[in-house]
Amino acid sequence: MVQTANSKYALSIENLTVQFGGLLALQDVDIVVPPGSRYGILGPNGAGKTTLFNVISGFVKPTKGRVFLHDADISKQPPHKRVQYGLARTFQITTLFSELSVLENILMAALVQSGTSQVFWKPVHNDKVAVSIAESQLHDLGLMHLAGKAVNELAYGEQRLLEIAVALASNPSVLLLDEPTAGLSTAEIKAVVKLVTGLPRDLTIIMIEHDLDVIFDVSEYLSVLHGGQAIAHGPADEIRHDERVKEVYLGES
Amino acid sequence: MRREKIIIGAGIVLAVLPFVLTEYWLGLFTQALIFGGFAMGLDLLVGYTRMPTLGHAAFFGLAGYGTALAITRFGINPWIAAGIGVLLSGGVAVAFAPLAVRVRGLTFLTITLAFGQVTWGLATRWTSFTGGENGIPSVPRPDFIWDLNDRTGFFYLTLIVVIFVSLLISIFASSAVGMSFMGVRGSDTRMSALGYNVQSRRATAFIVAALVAAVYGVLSTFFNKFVGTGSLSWQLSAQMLLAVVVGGFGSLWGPFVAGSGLHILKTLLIGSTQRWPMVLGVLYVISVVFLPGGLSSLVPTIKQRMIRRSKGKEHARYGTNSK
Ligand SMILES: Nc1ncnc2c1ncn2[C@@H]1O[C@H](COP(=O)(O)OP(=O)(O)OP(=O)(O)O)[C@@H](O)[C@H]1O
Ligand SMILES: [Mg+2]
Repeated sequence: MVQTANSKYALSIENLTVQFGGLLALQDVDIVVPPGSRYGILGPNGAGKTTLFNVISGFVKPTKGRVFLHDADISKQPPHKRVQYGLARTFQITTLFSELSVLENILMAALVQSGTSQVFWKPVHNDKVAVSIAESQLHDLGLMHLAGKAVNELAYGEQRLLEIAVALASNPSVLLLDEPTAGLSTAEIKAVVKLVTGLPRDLTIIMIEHDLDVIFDVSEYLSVLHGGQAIAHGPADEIRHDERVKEVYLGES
Repeated sequence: MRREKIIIGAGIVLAVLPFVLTEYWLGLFTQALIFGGFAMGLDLLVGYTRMPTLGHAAFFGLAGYGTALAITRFGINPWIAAGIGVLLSGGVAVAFAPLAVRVRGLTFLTITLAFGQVTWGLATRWTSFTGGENGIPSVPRPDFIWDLNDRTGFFYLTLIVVIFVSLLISIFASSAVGMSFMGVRGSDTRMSALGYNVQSRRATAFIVAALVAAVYGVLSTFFNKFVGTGSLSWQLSAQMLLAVVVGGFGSLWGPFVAGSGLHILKTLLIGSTQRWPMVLGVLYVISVVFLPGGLSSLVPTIKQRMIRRSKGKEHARYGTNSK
């Protein structure tokens, strides 16, 4: 785990540009995220939010620009190595192992943390350390009752919670959540907000969200993306009253 | 542990075969075990990791050729030659895997097919060394505690190897690495996001399946006292791929049964018809249409049982944890 307690930013993005063919998905984006903060990313459809996450987590190579995690330049690291720097993410489209049980989904992440993901000579369910990491994760989030269920037996709202639980089992210092409440009912949204606001304060959370109530409930800072450009940054209260932001985003919804 | 017990139990039951079968049928069952075992190993690659290959006969055949050549051309002891054969296949798999796992789906299928055809072409054309179309006859069987030149003796050696390798595969499949193969099949993006090197997992599956094929390739060569280009053919690869499909992805036992069954069927049919590929094709269509989950879908999967069991265990575990 590469972590510097006194680094100024948990995450910083410098001068990021992503071009898909003729399309500029991101253009000269700079974002800095203070450690332990709750950071929201706002923006209309196609603004480049998910692309931003894909660059941070290494799935998309930027045309230009760099990504730092706790002062370490991770721009050149493949996605699986970035986990070692303390990065975890969820996906906008639920990405779980549908054939595995809930416990096994978390176990997959826990095995990397217990350092036993290479073990091939004994059944994975006998791995006491990894299983206990996975179980305590479920326990902490109040999801233990789901442990033995297959993922495809879960309600959609439960799947979204599990998606976050799996990411947390990677023991991240920076967690990226891509629209964790999209498509959920009011009650389910509440459950997600409750889970996210209940997370430890030393965890830095960056969340893409369309639901304005959620984003203003959860985040302290915001960046607003529009057409691939970051048009505003700042404390959530200021952004709420920013004229340009109202125009391009808040006004539309 | 349940699956391991079933393997040992099945092994014990099969041990009576020499007492009830004629020489001919015992020989057929020996080969059936070999191809069943081959298919079971392939299930790790095709079923667990979902990397459908049309080239894994190459590793079966290369090990056979390696063994046969070492014995007949270089006079090496058959046991050591067997080791050389397996190492040859393993080495080639290690060299080829990094290339092969960079592509997926149809491209992976075609690149493995092409690779298999290269080995087949080599064995066919390099007549002076490999015997070309005639293959390598008169490969002696090794010495052992009991006589391996006797049908019953060879059957028991095969049975022991099959039980041993199947146990290894079974444990491997239920391990962290085995589960990561299922993860790769489910979503490789998610797997990378969790910190897994997906390419290296895929390469591992490829190499392990190759090693299993290699062990059975050596056994097959000793059984037949011969190795020929058929052992490297794409038809054999296709037959094994079909065994996994018909048997049911990821169940291990299904592909084993299907692999054995297909071999028996092939041997019985080939006397009356030369249309084995056509029969395979028809079988494929029938199984995909009428039994999409394969043979194994007829029995509740291990997975479902595991989930049910861990549900039952939850309370017990809570009891001990919350003292
Ligand atoms: N891999 C890709 N190849 C080509 N174009 C892409 C790719 N990924 C995203 N895009 C395009 O880049 C733009 C930004 O997409 P992105 O998914 O980042 O938007 P978003 O802000 O997450 O939108 P939404 O709110 O709909 O999720 C879109 O026009 C999209 O079509
Ligand atoms: Mg998006």
